[in-house]
Amino acid sequence: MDNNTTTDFLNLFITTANEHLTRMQQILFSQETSKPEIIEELHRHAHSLKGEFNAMGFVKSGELAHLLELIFANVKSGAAILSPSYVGLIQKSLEQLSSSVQNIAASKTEIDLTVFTETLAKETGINLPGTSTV
Amino acid sequence: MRILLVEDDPFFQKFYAYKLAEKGYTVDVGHDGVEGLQLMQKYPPDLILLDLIMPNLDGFGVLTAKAANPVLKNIPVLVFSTLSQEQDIKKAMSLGAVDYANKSFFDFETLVAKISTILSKPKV
Repeated sequence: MDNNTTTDFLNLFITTANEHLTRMQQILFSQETSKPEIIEELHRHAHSLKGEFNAMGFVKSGELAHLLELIFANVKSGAAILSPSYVGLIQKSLEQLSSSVQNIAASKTEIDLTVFTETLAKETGINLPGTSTV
Repeated sequence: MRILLVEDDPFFQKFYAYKLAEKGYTVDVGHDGVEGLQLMQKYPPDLILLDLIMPNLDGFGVLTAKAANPVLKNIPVLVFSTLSQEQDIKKAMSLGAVDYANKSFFDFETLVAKISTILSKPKV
């Protein structure tokens, strides 16, 4: 892939990633999170973010987006409830991902979110496949 | 050769439409499962690239509806996967998908090779 094409897709990635993050933040502030269709939408955005980060090679951010996807999948299935403390953790996660996207926009490198992701996994009791919080 | 891309994410829509057109394919884009089903009837493709998690009608719904339609059922479908979708892939294959491909900048040539293999098989 030539440099111009890479830059074009990097710009497109930054735009769409920010759109997903903004929409997720709007939903969480709207307090409509008890509706199944809203949880479904949050799950789709987290899934898309995971795919976009990983497709671009920003795998540390992709791991955090993946964890969010698993959290929303648990809420969808009824295995977890989106309590205020859960919403707070998700909002912090979205802030971390936004910071990483800003860093990518500025320097084409992501922020290493490994420690944050591991802490979130411990707090929620959800492990990414192939990892363990023990 | 005509490919129908059914994908709700604007990033992947533009990426794959651009890269596949660059390889010489004619690409139609459906933005969700409902639009995908409409497009495959209007402009029958040689192959369908199908996302699984989409609004309105997901990829499983598309595979089910397609299998029930005698005109569409033999069009090969290659599903997109992302990390930890192994169960989804198994389900999609059981519903008639012929193969799957990872969504990634870095796996694009693998996707093209899979498309080429599928399209080189004789049509039934």
